[in-house]
Amino acid sequence: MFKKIVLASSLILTSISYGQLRVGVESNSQYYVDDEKIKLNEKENDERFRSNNYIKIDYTIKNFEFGLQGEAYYPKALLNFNPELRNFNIGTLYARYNNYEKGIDVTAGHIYEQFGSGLALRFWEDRALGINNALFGAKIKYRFGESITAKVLAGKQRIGMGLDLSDGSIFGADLEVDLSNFLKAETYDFKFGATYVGRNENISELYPNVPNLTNVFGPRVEYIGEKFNVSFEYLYKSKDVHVEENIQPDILRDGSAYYANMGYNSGLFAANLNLRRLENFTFFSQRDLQGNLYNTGMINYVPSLTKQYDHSLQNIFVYQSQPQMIYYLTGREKQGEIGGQFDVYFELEPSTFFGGETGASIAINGSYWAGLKNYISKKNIKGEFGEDIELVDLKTDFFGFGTKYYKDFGVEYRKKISDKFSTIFSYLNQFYNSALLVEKPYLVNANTLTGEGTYFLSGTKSVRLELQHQWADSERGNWAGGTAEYVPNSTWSFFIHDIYNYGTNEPSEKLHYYSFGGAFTKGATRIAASYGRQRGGMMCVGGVCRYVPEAAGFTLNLTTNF
Amino acid sequence: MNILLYKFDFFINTLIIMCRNFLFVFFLCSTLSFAQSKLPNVTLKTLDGKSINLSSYNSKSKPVIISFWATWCGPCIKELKAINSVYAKWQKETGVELVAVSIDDARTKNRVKSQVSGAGWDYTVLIDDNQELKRAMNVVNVPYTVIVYEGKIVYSHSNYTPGIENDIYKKLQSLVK
Repeated sequence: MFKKIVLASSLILTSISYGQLRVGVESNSQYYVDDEKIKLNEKENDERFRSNNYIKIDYTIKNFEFGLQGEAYYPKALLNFNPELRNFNIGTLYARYNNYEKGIDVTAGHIYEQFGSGLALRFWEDRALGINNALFGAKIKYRFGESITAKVLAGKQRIGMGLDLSDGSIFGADLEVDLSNFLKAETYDFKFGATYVGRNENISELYPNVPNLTNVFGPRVEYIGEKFNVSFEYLYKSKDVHVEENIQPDILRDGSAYYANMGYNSGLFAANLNLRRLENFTFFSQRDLQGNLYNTGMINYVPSLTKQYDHSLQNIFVYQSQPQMIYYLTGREKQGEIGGQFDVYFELEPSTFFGGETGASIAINGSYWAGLKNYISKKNIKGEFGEDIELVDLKTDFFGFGTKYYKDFGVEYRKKISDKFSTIFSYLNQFYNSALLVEKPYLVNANTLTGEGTYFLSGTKSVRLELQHQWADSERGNWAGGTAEYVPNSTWSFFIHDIYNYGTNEPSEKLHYYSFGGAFTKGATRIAASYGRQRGGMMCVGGVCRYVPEAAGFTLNLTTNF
Repeated sequence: MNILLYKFDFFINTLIIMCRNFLFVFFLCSTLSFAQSKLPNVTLKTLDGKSINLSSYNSKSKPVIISFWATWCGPCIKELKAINSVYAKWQKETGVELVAVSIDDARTKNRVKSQVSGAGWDYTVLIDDNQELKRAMNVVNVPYTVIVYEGKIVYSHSNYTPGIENDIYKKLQSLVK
């Protein structure tokens, strides 16, 4: 019956007015080879060709939208993607009624959404990271006049292909009020918001002392003036069972998040400061997914607040935010993180000392992150059968800075020498506590220098050369690297890239990670092909990381839309 | 509570059945429809916190450049800097408006204002922090630039090559001629 009604109504609608169809295609394939140094892991070498493919089709007619994303991981997903992503199946699908004038927006099916900065809830997709944590359910968004927006949603989260959904159900509500409209403010914007997110997962049958429902809620405010802007967000997470390897029913803890941002912008000078304190603030749609390698089942978005750097040597030591609790690893106890980052940007006017004849831009940034200071008390008691039980109790101070996790300080200088030649130089100093972040026995201090120049030959023809060097006092030691790029026109480009780990004490690690390739771009289509080696390590986008293994081979990427 | 949860599961199951039917209808609709290219019905906020619906640019009589970028994307900054040095001239000659859509998410969103103001860009800057517009327009990589003229997307380009601003300028000139 339902089928007939929709069929009839869609036929009528289509005959009245033409809708709009949008199609997006993305295909990422790799063929892994064994070269003299890098070999594919035996567990993985059954399929040397791997491919991740996506087709997304959206159809809009009047205020209605219908969409579908098909995904194929065939014969297998690329190395170190979640093995749950396999074969061909539906990724997401939805139907939506969205009337902007009336302020009504209703979606059923897979939903993407973000409350506030995403600290309580963010459903999103990042294909490069293998993340798609859309909520399968329903969402209603309603705007009361110009100033008040309310959202409610409920459903279960996507954790695999097709309609593989989380055990836990999620429901949430968010309210945002633009107070400046009420105050008739012209020169500034002042908003107030409040969020609630609940997760209900049946656990009390197995562990009667653990509540099924976990609540995250809190307020936020934002002020945007002509020169200053300030925002603040607080969230509280109700008591939930601790998960470390397994569910630890004896430990029930609550959590919290404080996040502040301040900015100042004036003419050619701008500055920004972020501060954040997290305590036990991971939040998953299924408790046993906590800490999984593939970021499956994440409800909240807790990015690392550090600058995302451009160059490959600047991305060897990448900080990952540490909202989680660790109880049982002696000497590595964690309860969260505390710290901040700052940025300063300014333009140097022409005809000044640093600006030179043509002017220049400078960006300075830094960050400092530490664990919350732990006050640990341990006591031994006898269990009901006379066995010894050690009880650990972790406590924190509000402003307790514990072990340093990460620190960085960077300067970037952009200078256009002439109409034909422009340059970028950067310096970066990093401290990285491998022992606590990635469980390797290193404390690393690294300094990285980079320089690049782009020279226009004519019209859209150019060459770019980039050189980098990193001095590191630990782990794999010093690195050197470079990239050369030739762009003959706006359609084609070719590159060759190499980073060399010459400073390592381990002869087998002394490797060139070289690659070369080209890209073809026309309109909305882009095809890129390359051959070479990829360095193993963290690949991070937006502060969320995926571990990429060391590998060698061919890569082919295709994207298009129409 | 249990009844509520039972109802919730029932609701999800119904939704699953509806989706299966929906697939059939969907493909039928797709074959009947025309592919058209205009900006979708997506509402984003400016740096001052004001809302703008992208489809409102479909009715502009002058060309509009939509440029997707991010503070962490080197080529994007180069493109916007390159256009900035000729933007006043373009505006005067063609009446063009550049809308720079930042896809920075919560990690780097706070840098957007600093970057824009520090670089002295006079663009309309929109924040697409959960990638709603990026997804609706099937944009995969940034920079991604389109020109919209009289409600149609007449030009798109999916990366930055130095000097591409010259191509964009030629396209703008041909539109308003």
